[in-house]
Amino acid sequence: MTDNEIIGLFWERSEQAIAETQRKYGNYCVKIACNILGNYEDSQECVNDAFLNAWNAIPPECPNVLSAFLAKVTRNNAFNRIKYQNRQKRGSGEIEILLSELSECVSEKDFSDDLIDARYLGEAIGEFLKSQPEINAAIFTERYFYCRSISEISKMSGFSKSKITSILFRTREKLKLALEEKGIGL
Amino acid sequence: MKEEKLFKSIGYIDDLLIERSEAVVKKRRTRGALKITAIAAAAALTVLMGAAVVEFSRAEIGNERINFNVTVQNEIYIPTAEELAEIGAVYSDDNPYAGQGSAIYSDTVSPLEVISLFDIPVLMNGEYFTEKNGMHMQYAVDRNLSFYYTLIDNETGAELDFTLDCALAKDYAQIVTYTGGSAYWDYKLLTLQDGSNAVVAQGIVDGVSLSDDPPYSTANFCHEGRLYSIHSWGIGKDGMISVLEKLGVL
Repeated sequence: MTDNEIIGLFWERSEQAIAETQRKYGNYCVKIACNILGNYEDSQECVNDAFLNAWNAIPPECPNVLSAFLAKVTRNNAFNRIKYQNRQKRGSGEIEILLSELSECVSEKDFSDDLIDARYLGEAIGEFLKSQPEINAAIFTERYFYCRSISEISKMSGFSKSKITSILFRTREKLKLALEEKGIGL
Repeated sequence: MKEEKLFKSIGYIDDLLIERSEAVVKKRRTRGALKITAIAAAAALTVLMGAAVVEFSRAEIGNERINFNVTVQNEIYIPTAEELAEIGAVYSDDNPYAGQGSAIYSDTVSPLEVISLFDIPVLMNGEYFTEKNGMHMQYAVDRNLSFYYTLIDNETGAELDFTLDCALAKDYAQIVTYTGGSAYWDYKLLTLQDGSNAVVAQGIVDGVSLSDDPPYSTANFCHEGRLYSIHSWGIGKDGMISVLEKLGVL
């Protein structure tokens, strides 16, 4: 079933929409949640929640890219869930490492959660990534959106782990500069 | 936390970046692999030659066997059936190397290409060995990915049959070396450079039978998360130890 047909089922309020979404994107979403949570059962619950979120959001939403829409919701749910869990249980430590890497993009300037809208910041990051070499942007996305491990990205790409680490490091450095140039006071 | 805010913000990047990233990353791997035409470079191993004197134990008549456990898989990435299918491999019942269960092979994708595509290092030191007849591959779904190849020892001319087994399960695998039901075997547990164990054995010693045949010996071990099994009718137990040294694992 095509994405448009699935979205059509959502709009018709047909419960088959959930079944078809599960069939087509269930594993994809569980993998994303699992990268963050490191636990299959929690991930499965997270994905079920994400599909419920999708049910509640569509309509009025009409996603351009259904997979990306579901990925975003799943990722957000997984991250919210892990924030409420004991920090020691976080994704077998991978998410801690990942956040630690991201902290390099954060300057020591004053920062307030309320100053910057996450959506606006996300759009700025997206614009930055589009200005980068395609492979670097993809590796960044695999790491920080999909939360894949360095090792997994290395195996996917054929690059060594050290090269992946190096690409990510350079991209984070550039991102930090790009955000500062935009006056985004992270 | 600032980094949490940043993490959350990355959740709002453009849909197309999210949708395409995996394909872009994997496409790179395919491109890179096409440049690789030989796996000899992957086998640039340090060879430590020594004249170690090894005392073997004797397993005598009966079904005595030598067991030892090794950890396999670790961080080793094994392609899935779907990924193999993406590069042209197909399921077939005609695969002559298929064991029980489904197998995948392809006329269009060679074992060497699979090894290159998925960065599977193979023990094969071109300085001391010459490959014979190419490789065969077997992919048993949900079980293992195995490669079979034969090396000629340049020094002795002995043929060494290798099985490289990449287990799919993140699990322990047990290597079991059996003695013959009524034969004498010499065997030795060795500690490899990486601290793991190998068992080297020579079958039917003391001229109990097959006295005109060249000695038969085996080596079983785990190296970098993969299981290796070497069989040879051309060399004895000491020769097999020498092979491990030439391969750079002992």
